[in-house]
Amino acid sequence: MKNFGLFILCVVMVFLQLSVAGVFFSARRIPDLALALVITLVLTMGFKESLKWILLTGILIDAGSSTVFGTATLAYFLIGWMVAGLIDVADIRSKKTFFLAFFAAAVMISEIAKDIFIFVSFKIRANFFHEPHSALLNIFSVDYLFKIIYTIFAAYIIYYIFRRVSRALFLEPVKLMKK
Amino acid sequence: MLFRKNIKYFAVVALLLVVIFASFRSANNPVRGIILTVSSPFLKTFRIFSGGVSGFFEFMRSIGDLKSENEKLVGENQELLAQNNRLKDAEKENQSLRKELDLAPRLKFDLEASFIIAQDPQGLGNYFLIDKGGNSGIKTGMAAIVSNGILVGQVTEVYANSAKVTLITDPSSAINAEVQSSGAKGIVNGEYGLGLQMGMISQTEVLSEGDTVISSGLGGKIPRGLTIGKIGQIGQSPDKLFQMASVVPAIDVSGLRTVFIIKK
Repeated sequence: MKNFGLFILCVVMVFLQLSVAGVFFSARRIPDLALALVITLVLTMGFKESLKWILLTGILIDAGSSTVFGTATLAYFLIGWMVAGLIDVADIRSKKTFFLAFFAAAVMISEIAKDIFIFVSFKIRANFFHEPHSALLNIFSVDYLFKIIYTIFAAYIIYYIFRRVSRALFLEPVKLMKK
Repeated sequence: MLFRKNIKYFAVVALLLVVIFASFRSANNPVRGIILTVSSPFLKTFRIFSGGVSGFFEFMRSIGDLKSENEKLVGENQELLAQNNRLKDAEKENQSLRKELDLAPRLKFDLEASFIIAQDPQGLGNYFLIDKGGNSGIKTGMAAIVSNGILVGQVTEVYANSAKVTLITDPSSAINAEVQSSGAKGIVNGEYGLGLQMGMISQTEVLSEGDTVISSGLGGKIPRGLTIGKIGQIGQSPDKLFQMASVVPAIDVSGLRTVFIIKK
């Protein structure tokens, strides 16, 4: 039941990002719901437990995007690993405000790192095959700032809902990460 | 020690790197095709539902403006009715003249209406996915337009029940174009989602700001006469051999829900 619930959650979140977000947000301001989900999963279940769900989310995002297949998956995997490494060295949930700030910072840094990673992969492919690449990344633009803000808010909402719903729907409680 | 502890994770990274290198060249990844084929009905349902929700909120927001907008539309409608009658008359005249001159009838497009079901999740690219694919006779290179003949993009990848349409604002897109009033020919390229640029225009051509740019039909893939946009700033190419001009796209694609694919 827990696995089924998590599977549905990952699929729905990717569908929301691929299909629904574009209706409400302009193309360059679409929040990265998949990233928000990855960070939420790592923070609540730990990296090891959430590994297969991170890979599933990444593969689905790769399928719907024009990136080199596998780059989004690798980016989400590395982000999950990085966040897990950070929470190993500090008990980030000891204070609510500290946690909120950490969470926002983790989402922001991860988003920028992921976009640069994917952008570079586009450029490498384009340079390698001498073809124009279609990616545009300007992390100092207003659009990008809004994208980051929306992603942070989405991450807060997903985290909050996940913590509330997981106990009710997944029957067996989701394991909290080791301190 | 660190490596041995995390060997499983390093193996995953290595495996993903292999996948990336294996799919480096091909855009039409079979896994991508399978996932899109399975998920396209769900993506469509999500999109239609969200479109309804968004439409409801837009309607609620626009209630205040409805009265003045209605008055404006009634006026526009009357004007268009008169224009329509004049055009019908011109069409009849055109048909009889074509008959007299023994010209072939004007091309009529075989259109396939398609829903936009998804857009680039990363916000980096300039494309969208539609709910029609190879099963509906869609092929790569076909033009995507909106109902009134405005070109929005070209089909670049086809799956069984979905296809990827790359927008004309994408830098990889190159459309043979013509300035409607002067007949000046050139090539319209995308500028990283920021707009369009028409280049390779002969120095002898006279361009004016606001002139309409249409597809020229050269090359055969995109039919002639589809609206692309209007000429903006005019300048010289870096080597001064040609003129170039920015082109303001005729439509903002972010609000699109449906497009038509020209099959023939």
